[in-house]
Amino acid sequence: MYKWLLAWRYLRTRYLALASIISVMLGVATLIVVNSVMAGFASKLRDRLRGLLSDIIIEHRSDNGFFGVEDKVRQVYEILGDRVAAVSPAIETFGILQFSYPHSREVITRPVIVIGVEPGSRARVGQFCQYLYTAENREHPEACFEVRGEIARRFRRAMEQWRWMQELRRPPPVPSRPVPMAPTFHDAVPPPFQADPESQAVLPPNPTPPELPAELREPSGIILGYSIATYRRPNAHVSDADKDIFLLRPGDRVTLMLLTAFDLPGHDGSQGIPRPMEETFAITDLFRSEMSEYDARLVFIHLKDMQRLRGMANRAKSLYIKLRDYSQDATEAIRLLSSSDAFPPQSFVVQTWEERQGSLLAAISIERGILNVLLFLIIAVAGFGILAIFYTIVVEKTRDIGILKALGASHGGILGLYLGYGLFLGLVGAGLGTALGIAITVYINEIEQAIARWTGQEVFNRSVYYFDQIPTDLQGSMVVLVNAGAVLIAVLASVFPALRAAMLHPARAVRWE
Amino acid sequence: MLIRKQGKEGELLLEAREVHKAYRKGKHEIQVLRGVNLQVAFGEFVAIVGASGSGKSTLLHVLGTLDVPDSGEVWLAGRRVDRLAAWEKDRLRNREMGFVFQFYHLLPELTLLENVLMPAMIRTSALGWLWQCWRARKQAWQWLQRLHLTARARSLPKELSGGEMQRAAIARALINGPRLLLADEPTGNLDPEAAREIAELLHDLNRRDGLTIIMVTHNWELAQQAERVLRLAEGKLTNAASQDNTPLVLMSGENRK
Ligand SMILES: Nc1ncnc2c1ncn2[C@@H]1O[C@H](COP(=O)(O)OP(=O)(O)OP(=O)(O)O)[C@@H](O)[C@H]1O
Ligand SMILES: [Mg+2]
Repeated sequence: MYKWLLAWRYLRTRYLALASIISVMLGVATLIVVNSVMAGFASKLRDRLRGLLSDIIIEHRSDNGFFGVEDKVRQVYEILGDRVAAVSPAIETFGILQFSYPHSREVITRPVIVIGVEPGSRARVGQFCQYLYTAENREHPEACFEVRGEIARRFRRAMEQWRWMQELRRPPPVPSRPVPMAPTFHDAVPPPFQADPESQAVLPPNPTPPELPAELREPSGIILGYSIATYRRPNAHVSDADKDIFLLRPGDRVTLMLLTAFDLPGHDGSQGIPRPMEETFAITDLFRSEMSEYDARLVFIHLKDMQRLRGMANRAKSLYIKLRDYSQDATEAIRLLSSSDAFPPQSFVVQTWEERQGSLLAAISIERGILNVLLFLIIAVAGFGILAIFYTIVVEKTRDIGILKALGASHGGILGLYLGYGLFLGLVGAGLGTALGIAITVYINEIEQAIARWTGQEVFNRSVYYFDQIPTDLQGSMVVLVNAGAVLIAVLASVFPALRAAMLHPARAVRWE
Repeated sequence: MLIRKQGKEGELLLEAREVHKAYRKGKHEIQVLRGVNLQVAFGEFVAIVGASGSGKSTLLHVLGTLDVPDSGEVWLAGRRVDRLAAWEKDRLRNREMGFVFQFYHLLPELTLLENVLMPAMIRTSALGWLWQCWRARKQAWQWLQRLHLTARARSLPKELSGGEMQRAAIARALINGPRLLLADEPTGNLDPEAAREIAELLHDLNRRDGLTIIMVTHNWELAQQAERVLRLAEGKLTNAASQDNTPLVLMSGENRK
C-alpha cells in the first residue's frame, strides 16, 4: 500500500521526473503519428493497387495474348467453381497519345499505358468504376465508353451534314457505306487493317463511296487519366475548388497510336511485324485513382476497340479474377489455376495482386519496420534518461529508504516502490503521449496546412506523393502495442535503480546525510 | 490503552550477549563494540550514555536488527533475532520495535498523519489496507490527540517545528503497538523546552503504558529520567551511577585500535 502512496507522491513532487515523462510522451506520440501515417499510406496504397487490379491476375507471357477469351473465362469458372465472383478479360499495352489543347495549335504527344477493358465485368472485379470522374458512369460503368448526349449529337449532325453535301454533289444515289463497325466478340478473323493499301486493293471494285473523313466519324470512347487531362494551378491551395485546370474535357478528341500485336501472322501467312495503328477517340470520362503515377499514365479503351486496333480478335492478354473470399481462397485458387492444363506455366503467369505488387508492398513494410525500430530506440533513450534520473532519486532518497527499512519495509517492498514509480512515470508519459499522438494524427492535415501557411513551405508535396490528403490509419492494436512497449521500457529502466534501493544496507542508509 | 501489555513486569525482553562489532575500511579496522552484554526487562526504561563515536548508534542498530553483530547474540522475548532471515527481521522491526531518531526522519513527501500511518501501511497489503485503513486511522488519530498533534495532521514535515516532528516520530514508532522503543538521541536536535517535553512524554509512556524503552543520549539530565543508566565506553557497557564517574567528553579516538 505504502508503495503506491509514495510512488504517487514522488511523481507529484519530483519535477525531475517530469523530464522522463516528457521524453516518454514525445516518443509515444511520434510512434503513434508515424505509424498511423505510414499505415494510412500503406492501406490506401494497397486499396488502390488492389482496386486497379483484382484478386487474382492471369497474364499471358506474350503481348499477343491468348486466343479464345470466352473459353478461358469458362475454364476459370470450371476450375474455381463457387469461389469466383467475377472474371474480366483485358489487354494492356503501350501507346502514344496525341492531342492538342483547345484554343492552341500545339500538338502534345505523350506515352501512355493503354488498357482495353470490358467495362461491365471490369467494374465487378475491381474498383475501376469508382475512380471514374462522372457520376453517371460510376453508376452505369457498362456504358462508360459510349459517346452519348450532346457529344454524340454533334458528331451525328456533322456526319449528316456531310452526307447531305455528298448527296448534293453526286446525283447518282449510292448507298452510303456504314460506319465501320467494331468486330464482335466472336470474330476470330482479324479484320482488315484500315490503313493497309494492299487490303484495299483486294476489295471488290465496287464504285467506292467517298470515305467519311476521320474527324466526322463517330469515334469510340476513351477514358484518360485525370492528370493527363488536367494540370494543377501553380500555388493552388488543396482546398481550392478550382485548383485543377482542365485541358481536355469529355467530348474532346484525342488520337491514340498503338502497335498491332507482335508476331501475328500477316495476311500472306508470313510472320508479321508489329505495325503502328492510329485512331481518333472521343473522351467519355476521366479516371482518377488519386495515385498520381497511374492518373498520369493510364488510358482506358473498350476491349473491342483494342482487339480491333491490334488485330487481336477474340484474344486477350490477361484475365482479372475476383474471388468471393480472397483471404480464405487465394492460395488454393492460385494452386488450382497454375496446376491446370488451361493455364500452362510456360505461357501464363498466375499471381495474386499482392504478388504482382510484391516489391512495392515489401518496400513499404520494410520501411515501416525500420522506422519502428528507430523510433523505439528513441523511447529506449528516454528509458536511459529515466534510469539516470531514477538513480539520482535513489541516491537522494537513501535515508528515506533506510527509514522505511527501519519501519519494517521489505526488500520486495522497496523494489516495488521504485518499480511502481517507474510504472507510474511510464503510464503517465504513455497516456499523455497517446493523447498527443491521436490528436496530431486526427488533425494532421490541418496541422500540415497551418505549418505550410506559417512557413510558406509545403510540407506534404502533393505532386510527389500519391494522395491529396495525408492519409492516416489509427489502429487500436498499434496504439496498445506502443503503449505497452513504452511502459515496459520505463519499468525496465527503473529495475536497476530499484534493485540498488532494495539492496541498501538499512543501518548505513539510516546514517546517510 | 494504546499500548498492549506484552509481558509480566520483570521478565526479560531483550538480551545482548557478548556482542562484537567492527567496521572495516580497507586495512583499518575500528572495533566499535567489544563484548557488550545487556539485559532489559519488560517495562524497563534504560538510558545509554557515552562519548560521541563510542558506538551508541551502532549498538542500537544491532539491537534493532538494522545491523548484524560480528559475533555475539541478540535475543528478543526468548527468541534469537540477530541471525533471522531478512523478511523475519522486517516483520520484527515493523511489529515489535519502534525507532526514534535524532533527526526525526519523517518522510518529507507525506503529511504528518501519513507518516504516522506508515508502519501500519507497511504491515498490511494494498488490499488489506482497504479493510484496515479505518481502524489504523482511528488509532493514529488517538495518538495524535495524545501527543497534541491533531491540528497539524495534514501538514508536511517541513511546516512543523522540531518538537512536533519528534512527537510525530514517536507516534509513528508506536502505531503498530511495539514491545520496545529504541530511541537514538531523541532530543539531540531540540531546544531545551522541546527536549523536556519529549523527555516527559517518554517518561509518561514508560510509567503509564509500561512501554519498554532503550534510549541513547548525550544528555545527562535526560538520562536521569531512566530507571537505569548505562555507559558505553571502550566498546563495553558499564553501569553509570553518576555523572562524574567518567567524563562524557571521552575522546572517540580511544576506541580505535
Ligand atoms: N559505516 C561505517 N563505516 C566505518 N566506520 C563507521 C561506520 N559507522 C560508524 N562508524 C564508526 O564507528 C564509530 C561509532 O559510531 P556510532 O555512530 O555508533 O557512534 P555514536 O556513539 O552514535 O556517536 P554519536 O554520539 O556522535 O552519534 C565511529 O567512530 C564511527 O566513525
Ligand atoms: Mg549516534
